[in-house]
Amino acid sequence: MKKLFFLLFISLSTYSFAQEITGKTRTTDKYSNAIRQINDEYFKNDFTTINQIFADDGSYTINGDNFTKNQIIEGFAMHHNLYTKIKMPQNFVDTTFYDENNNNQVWSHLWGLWEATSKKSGKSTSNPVNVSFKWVDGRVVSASWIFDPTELNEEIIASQK
Amino acid sequence: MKKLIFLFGLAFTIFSCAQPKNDPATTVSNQDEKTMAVAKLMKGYVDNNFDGSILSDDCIVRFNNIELKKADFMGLAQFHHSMFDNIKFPDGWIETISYHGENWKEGNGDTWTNQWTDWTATSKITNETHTNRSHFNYKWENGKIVEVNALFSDLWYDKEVKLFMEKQN
Repeated sequence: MKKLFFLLFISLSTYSFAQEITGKTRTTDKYSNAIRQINDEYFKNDFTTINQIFADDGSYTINGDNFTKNQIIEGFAMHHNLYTKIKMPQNFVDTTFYDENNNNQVWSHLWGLWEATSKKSGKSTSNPVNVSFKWVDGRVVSASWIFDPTELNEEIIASQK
Repeated sequence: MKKLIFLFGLAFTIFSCAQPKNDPATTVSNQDEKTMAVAKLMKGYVDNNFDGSILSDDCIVRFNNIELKKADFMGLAQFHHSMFDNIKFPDGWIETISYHGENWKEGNGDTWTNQWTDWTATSKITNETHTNRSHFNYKWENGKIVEVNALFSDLWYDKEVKLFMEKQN
């Protein structure tokens, strides 16, 4: 009988591991909606929600370099000095709720094609971007932006001439 | 023996009911075969032994705003190894998402593998070592990768390519 239970345990364990589930992903949850709101407000040079939701002492990086919450917001606001028609017509936001093996972490992800028109040259530009947001107790405590800043840097230099 | 088969059958039935195959939730895994295939693909790049057999022949590859063909992507490994030493591209965090059930619009049924990691290399020209935070995503269809999108800062890499090209001329 012991052998029987052992075999049952092994077979169920094997079946369980074969499921390979790490978490579940949603798009219509409150976290994804908050990220969409932050994005929509950014297009209008409004930073109300990011100010409310981002933790003051959070960890924020752009291409791996560290910035404070205020520096991030100032950077976004600066975009509106350089560009008009800032938008992201193609974008996708989802939120993954990881299982207890991954400490029940909650992460939202944004993929989008950022578009804008240079105030200096009138030229339209687009740039793909990915942003990851880590949530703890309803606040974003960590966010990481990844994109190629080449054109943005050139625009900053051009605006200073 | 009959009792044994019956008990196995019963156990699997109960377990299957507890985790229905038609569960509409979108699930994420970092242990599945697609995640492992991406890790293997990119290890091949690091080892200068890039094996593109997992990519469809008409795979679309985008490096930031630049669109490449599969052959261009495959050729990058050799090109990078001619420019850099100590190329590193650890797995970082790789996960595969199969989108099901919710209102995913045109994305319903899609499977994507996402990778967040740091690319590091040392220039053979300047001896500088640089690390780039990177995000790669890979779209799957019929067991093949049909789309790759790679995001990272091009600032240092572009400088190195320019130096490399000048040295070739």
